[in-house]
Amino acid sequence: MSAFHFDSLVWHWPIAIYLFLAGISAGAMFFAILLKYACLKQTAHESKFILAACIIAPISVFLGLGILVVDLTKPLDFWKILVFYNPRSVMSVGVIILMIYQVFMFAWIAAVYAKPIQTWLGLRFTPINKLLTWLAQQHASITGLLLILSLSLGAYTGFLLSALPGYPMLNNPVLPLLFLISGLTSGAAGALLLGVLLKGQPDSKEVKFIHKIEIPLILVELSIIFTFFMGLVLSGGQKQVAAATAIGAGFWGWVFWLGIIGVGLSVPLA
Amino acid sequence: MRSIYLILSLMVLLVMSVIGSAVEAANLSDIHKNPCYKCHKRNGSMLGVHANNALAISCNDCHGEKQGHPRKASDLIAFTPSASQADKQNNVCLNCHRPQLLGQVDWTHNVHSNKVSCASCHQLHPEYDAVLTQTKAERSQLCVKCHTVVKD
Amino acid sequence: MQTSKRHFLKCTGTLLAGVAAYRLAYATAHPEAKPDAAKQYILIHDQTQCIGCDACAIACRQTNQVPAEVSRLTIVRHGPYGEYPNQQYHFERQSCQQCENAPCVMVCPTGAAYRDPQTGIIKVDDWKCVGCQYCIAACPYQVRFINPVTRAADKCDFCAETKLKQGELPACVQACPTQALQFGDSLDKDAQVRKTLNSAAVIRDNESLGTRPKVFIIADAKGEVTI
Repeated sequence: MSAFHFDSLVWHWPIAIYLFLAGISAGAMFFAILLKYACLKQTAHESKFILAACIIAPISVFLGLGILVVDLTKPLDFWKILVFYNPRSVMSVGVIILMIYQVFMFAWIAAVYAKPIQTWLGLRFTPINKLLTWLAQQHASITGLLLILSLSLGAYTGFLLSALPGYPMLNNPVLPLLFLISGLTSGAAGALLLGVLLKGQPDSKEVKFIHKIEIPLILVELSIIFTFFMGLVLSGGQKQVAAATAIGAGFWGWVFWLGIIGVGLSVPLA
Repeated sequence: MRSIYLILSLMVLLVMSVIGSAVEAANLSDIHKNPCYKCHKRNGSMLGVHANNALAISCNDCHGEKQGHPRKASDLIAFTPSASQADKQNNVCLNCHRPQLLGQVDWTHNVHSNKVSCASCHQLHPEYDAVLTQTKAERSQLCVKCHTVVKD
Repeated sequence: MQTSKRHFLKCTGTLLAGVAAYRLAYATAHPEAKPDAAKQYILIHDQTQCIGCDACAIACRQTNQVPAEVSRLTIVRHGPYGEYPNQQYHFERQSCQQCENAPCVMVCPTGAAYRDPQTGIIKVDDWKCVGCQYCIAACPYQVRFINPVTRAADKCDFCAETKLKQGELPACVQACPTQALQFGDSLDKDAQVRKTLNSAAVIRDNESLGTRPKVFIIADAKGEVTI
């Protein structure tokens, strides 16, 4: 049995990629909002980093949803998940969050780029012009709700897995928090990377601002990972076994210490 | 011309008789030269793995010594579930078959061990033992044949 | 204006989170099984009577047309314990536990996994199921699977759509030659299952998870000695 084959986990790796993409989208949006609200204000549409976040967020969430739909055993029946809801299901709540999140994400992007789009359109398509003006007026409310939605999206993926009673490693109250912070930092990293590729200035005030939030977040993430595994070890039983598999000797131990703690968290701090 | 046909047909007959006797020899192994067979021909032929000449099993190896049979007392045993005690029957089989190996091949050997005679499930005189090729459902029905609690 | 908006958002957010948490906690503490339900079907597997003949599993497959590569019911064999010639095995029934507090029903996003209020049986609505497999991941007993024919999640439903509809006992109960399986309505005071529950030392699988299974086990009396 290879290290990538889990006897008991029915969801295979595409779902992990979806969870990652949803986290990135939430993180990119979260940082775009903060960047505009606390740093750039009215000049946000000129920033390459805001642009990067506004490209990453929709693409990653759509890609993730595409993976989700294709991964269903009945992909053509996916609409049923949008029609029937179960308020007690984390997945169903997640679908609602995802839908509203996407609406507000596009509303926010449209509001930020309202002026450039209006200039480009000129006097054509007056309904669109009116809509953009209206969105720009509602900008404050959209921002507030989108902030909450992006945090919900980042955390919901964690709740999705922690709702599984059969998995000692996942059925853990710290997991959603860990997912949220790791999603936020991944989104920030994605926005920074693409921003620089779009010829943004690496020493600009946006980068400094993002780092000011991101680096404390990474420290928090480290402490949450520590809490997470300490919680597993101290619970004993199967939880302890799961912890040993993940961070003890063996393949996943190496991946954890070198990949996650080393390359993923310590190197960015250094 | 006619003589050629005659010679040919004679040759064919000769070849066929040789093949025929060979087939008969293969079918009926050396165990049929056993004196028991003089009377027990009516019980049918001894076929299958246990009749293999290489094993050189005689009737007495399994059924015991003739002694006074058929008129006087003997220790001969028959391998039918009701004929004698199961462990007495099974001990004969265990002369060659190891319990550990039997258990590895099929777990039911372990639980039935010396409590159920091998012949309850197995037959070794026919060419093939039916138990070896039965379907899952047939196998389950074989269990049910004994393990049935009368419903109230 | 700005402060009132912020205040509104804060209040709404807190309220939403509170309601969600309350609903979840309430649902967990108060399983749906209501005493006024018409029937509460339960099953008792008497391991001391089970011989591992698989008659139940074979009958189940045939009755419910379960494809060969999946199964609703399997008998798992543990052993052998003891020394030859006195060895024995334990037989564990693996099938839906019909939990009162079912994780599959809880996580199903479309409500395709549901409890039948009339019988207490957990069923699957093939049409509503989209195949997200969340229920398969959530089931701690790992007895759910995707039916390759319907592409929907599938599992034991006490033969609700086959035998029970015809007024018969579930196929496994009918097929069992040793009466190791008992089936009945636990709300019926005269039911045999109720008498057994009151007289035998029954256990349930993974009770600590709080799922409250409705498949009960009379554990094999002979144990394994491993230290």
